[in-house]
Amino acid sequence: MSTREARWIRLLDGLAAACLFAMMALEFADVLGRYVVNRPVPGATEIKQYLLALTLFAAVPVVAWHDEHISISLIEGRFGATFDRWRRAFVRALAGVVMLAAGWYLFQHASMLATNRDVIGYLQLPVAPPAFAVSVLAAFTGALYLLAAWLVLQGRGLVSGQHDPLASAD
Amino acid sequence: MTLAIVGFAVLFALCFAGVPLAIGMLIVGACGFAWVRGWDATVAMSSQQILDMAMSHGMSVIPLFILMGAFIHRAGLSTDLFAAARNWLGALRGGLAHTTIAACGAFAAVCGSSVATAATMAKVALPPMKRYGYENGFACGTIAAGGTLGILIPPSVPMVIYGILTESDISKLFIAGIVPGVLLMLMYMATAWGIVLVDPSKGAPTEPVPLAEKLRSLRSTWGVLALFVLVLGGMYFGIFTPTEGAGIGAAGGFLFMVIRGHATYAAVRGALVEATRTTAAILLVGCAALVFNNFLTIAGLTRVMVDWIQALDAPPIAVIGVMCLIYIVLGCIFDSLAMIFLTIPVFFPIVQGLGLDPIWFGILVVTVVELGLITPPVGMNVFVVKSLAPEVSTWRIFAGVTPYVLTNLVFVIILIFVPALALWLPGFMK
Repeated sequence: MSTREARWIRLLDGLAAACLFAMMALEFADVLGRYVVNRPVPGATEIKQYLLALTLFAAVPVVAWHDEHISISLIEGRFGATFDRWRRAFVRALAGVVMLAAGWYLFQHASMLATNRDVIGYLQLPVAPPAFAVSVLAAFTGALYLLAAWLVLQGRGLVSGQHDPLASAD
Repeated sequence: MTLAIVGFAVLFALCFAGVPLAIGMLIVGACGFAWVRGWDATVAMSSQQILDMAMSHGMSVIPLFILMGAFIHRAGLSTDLFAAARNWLGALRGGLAHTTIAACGAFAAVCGSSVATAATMAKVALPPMKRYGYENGFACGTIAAGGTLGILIPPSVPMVIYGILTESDISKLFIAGIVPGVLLMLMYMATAWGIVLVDPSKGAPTEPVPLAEKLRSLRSTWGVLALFVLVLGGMYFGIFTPTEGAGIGAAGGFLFMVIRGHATYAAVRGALVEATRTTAAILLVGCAALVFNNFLTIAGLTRVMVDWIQALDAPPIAVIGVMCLIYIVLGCIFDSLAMIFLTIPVFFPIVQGLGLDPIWFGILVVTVVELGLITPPVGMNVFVVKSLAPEVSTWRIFAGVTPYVLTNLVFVIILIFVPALALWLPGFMK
């Protein structure tokens, strides 16, 4: 893994991890506040909504890059190396186009939310900022998939599509 | 109806080609919806659904429960659980197999994933089983089977997903999983006992341990019990919502890491990153499943299926039997969560139409889905154990797990005919 690659993965991992930890702390504080001192954290719900969107979509590109999105690898390697390389490239290119399109449409949706000044919850937080973040991260995932497709065709990187479930377990 | 069938066919083709499930569901869902309603409506619907899922407050229960398991795993409790179970059960016939199954069951009480349970326990249970000369297939098969308890004994990620998809009460689903989970654990132990009875060379008992030592070993495991009682008890008595329970559980897991001196920056970050990545993989499918389900609804599949089953006038038990068969077949190739996302939108309305209990059906689904984790050719738990025991062939493990698969099938039949197993405990809830 090149250092540049390592850097953005660390950045997104760190962002997602920080959001998740904040979500846990907020949930805990909210429950304690409600049952112990009878004062829940104001706006906890909408802050958690913000945090979930960021946790989820910050991790989506990383998971895509590591080829760990839920899939079936039944025909992997059954029809020879050349076929497999083209198949893997096709799968990634298709995923790239879909995620780029999703990012584009989500961006338009977010712009609409911004124009309408849609807000959520007690704190009246605007919906548009997390929607923009989601759209940008979805498009970034698409770009990564396209890059991965190109790399596979070049015969470089991401050779194994099989995710080792223990690689991340310590 | 034809459109929905074509949609499913295309989705299966894409999946078999290796396209990630979420991408496949987005393609088919969006194109199918656009076929009926046009592209503008599709874009509006899909964007709204994806954003709703990403910002849904109810969904935060998933990362938080996954995080709880990740923290507990890193707190090193699995070793203590295994040691305590060995002190109590090791001297029985095939003692370390019972130990493994019981430790899996206990770990499952604070972890919502089968694969994580199998992976964690494999690391702890394999070395002693090797030392005592346990037959490889038996040892690995027992761990793979024990791991399936991870999603039946609450908390359970598949139950959360079922609950969200069907708008069922997640607290009730969790409570409903307890009795079946314990029963399946005992049935697995009976199976291990039978295997060693037939061939005593497969697993030797360990040395008996004095009672004082047995009691002492329980002390280091009280934490798991306390956290389970706190989270599940809170949900049982309606003090916590599932999300709050998950938040408390994750915070409790974090506290264990701190108390036991395992809370280094690297370990905490590792647990968080693992949980976020797992969440992303699951919830991206969740986003896509919403789009796909909207397509199934406007394609009229669910309505046609419900009418068709009702016109057929088949006994409900036969319908449930067919569904279980479909799950067992799909389970051979599909991921457990993928199956739930794909089938529940079609099956659940049928089950409702037949007037069957949604909580009981949820437990039944989780039980059959579990089977897919230990059946060939794709059995995630077997693969996980295999990756930790590379010298044992995959087929040897599949052979070792077969008696447990049969036990699990018997258990499914019992659950179909005795719904009270699942429904008795939640019956006391408010």
